[in-house]
Amino acid sequence: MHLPEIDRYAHGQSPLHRLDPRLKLLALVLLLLATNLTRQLPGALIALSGALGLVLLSRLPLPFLLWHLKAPALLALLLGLGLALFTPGEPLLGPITAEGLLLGITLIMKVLACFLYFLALVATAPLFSTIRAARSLGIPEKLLALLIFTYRYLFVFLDRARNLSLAMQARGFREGTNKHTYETKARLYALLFLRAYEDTERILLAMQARGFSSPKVPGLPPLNREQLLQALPLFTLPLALLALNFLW
Amino acid sequence: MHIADGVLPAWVSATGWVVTAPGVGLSLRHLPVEEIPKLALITSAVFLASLIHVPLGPTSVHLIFNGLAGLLLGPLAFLSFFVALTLQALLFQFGGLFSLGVNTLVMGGPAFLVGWISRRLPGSRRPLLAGFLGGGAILVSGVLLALALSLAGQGFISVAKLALVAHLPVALVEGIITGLVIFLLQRIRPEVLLVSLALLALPSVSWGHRLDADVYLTPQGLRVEAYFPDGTPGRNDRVTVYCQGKKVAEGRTDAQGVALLPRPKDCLQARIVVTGSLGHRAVRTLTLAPTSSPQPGPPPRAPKEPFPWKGVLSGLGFIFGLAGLILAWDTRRRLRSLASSRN
Repeated sequence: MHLPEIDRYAHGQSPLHRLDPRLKLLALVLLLLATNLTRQLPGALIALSGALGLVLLSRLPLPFLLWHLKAPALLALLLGLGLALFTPGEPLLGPITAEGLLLGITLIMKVLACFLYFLALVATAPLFSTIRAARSLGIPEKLLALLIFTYRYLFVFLDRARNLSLAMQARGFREGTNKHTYETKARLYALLFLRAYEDTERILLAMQARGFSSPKVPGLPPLNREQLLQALPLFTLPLALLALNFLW
Repeated sequence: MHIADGVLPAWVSATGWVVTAPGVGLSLRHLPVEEIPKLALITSAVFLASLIHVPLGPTSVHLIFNGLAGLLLGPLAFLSFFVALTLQALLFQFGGLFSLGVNTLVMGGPAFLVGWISRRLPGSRRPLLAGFLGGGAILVSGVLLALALSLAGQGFISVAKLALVAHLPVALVEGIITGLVIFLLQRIRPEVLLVSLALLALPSVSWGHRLDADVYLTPQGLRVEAYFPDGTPGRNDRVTVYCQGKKVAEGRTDAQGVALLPRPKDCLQARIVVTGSLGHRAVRTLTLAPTSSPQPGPPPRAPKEPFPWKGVLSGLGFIFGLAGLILAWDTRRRLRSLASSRN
């Protein structure tokens, strides 16, 4: 159980922090599209170097990057290894084939590039700005309201779950693969769901008392020329990658 | 397992989005505004519960709860999983934006199926069956994941098989836990499972009005009147009376929205739950005075609580102690200032 830390370095002074979140989101979609369309090693290499450049520009600290890298890196390594071992082709070293190795390395680079693009462009703006940016780009209000609510209550429930598990430890609970553990864990889950259910009615009433009738997620103010010009260099990268993919 | 961006070829990710996006759009249209906090809170709880690991042999697994979400939320569990997976990608980089479509299909698809089944199969909330549905949902997720991976390329087929095998123990644990959780929820608050968010049917009926209920105690018993704010009576709604968490009476409202139920015996506070169609629901509590019952014999007396002498004495002692400390500190300060002024 970890508190989400995506907003930790959202307020910085780097060139990426200064860009408009709408344009960053748009650029991210284009960059991910371009990277996903890449199939060859050179393309993946260019995508990865672009991503590394962006991350350097964003000045996000290394421990933060590494902490977030854990999940994608594990998956990429596993899949890359699978590709290297099981792709039919010319044997290189034991069961590893040359074709498989090439595919595996390309895959790992693509995953890394996507990850770095994502962090460089999402972690450099507060999450709420990114959500407002999504509203400005036409994502339905209801969906964004759901996202905001879920995000907000995650912290409440995290606290609650911590208290519950602390209380369990205080009573001498030790985990193991046995009936007692499973029953206790089920009790913990049931309690979490139950409390959530009980909260919903209270919260809805409180919201209605304050005049809630429909969710309102404000968009961002209209863009000006300066902001567009600032973001222009960012868009050259995905366009170059896309062009490369079509020409290759 | 969440598929990260860059793993799947673009066409597989795109196909995922082509199926997921309309599903999300449709679910959003069928979600009444006042259900937004409810769906969000349950989503949040399910998300959090999936972060708590369960030990399994030398390792530990984290559960997905897509079967349980289907049982709790119905077909809207699909939307719930879309939101949860978006947040997972945003906050922890589990999965990604481009693969979000496929990931939602892999995990939310079975949740939708379970939700759909549970709406049509009244017995699906029995713990045993719920356990099977919970485990089955994971198996379907495993198959879908393996399918998505094997679509991605030749080299992935072995990995896909491995992923499918890895899902087997998780499905077992998930089935056990889902069954236990449903069992516990039924024992603690049975109406939680009776509540359902709006179905994916007849959305116009459920659009934005809420069921109200008035409960009176009459000589004939409990009189429950169910109605909507515009005056329409809540016809043929199920009325359930709970006393201390146990179901004591059940009935249905007639064409005028009125139900007459026997007065629960030996009950100080009754919870009356009116469950209408399409997830409309009203909950009222009624305090029943024990003396008004025409039962023979002395009325039950509340157990006399002993006066908390110990608490009062220790509280007084604490206050005096505190006052003494403050006085001592103040005297010392004064003595010091006196001493310094003399010098």
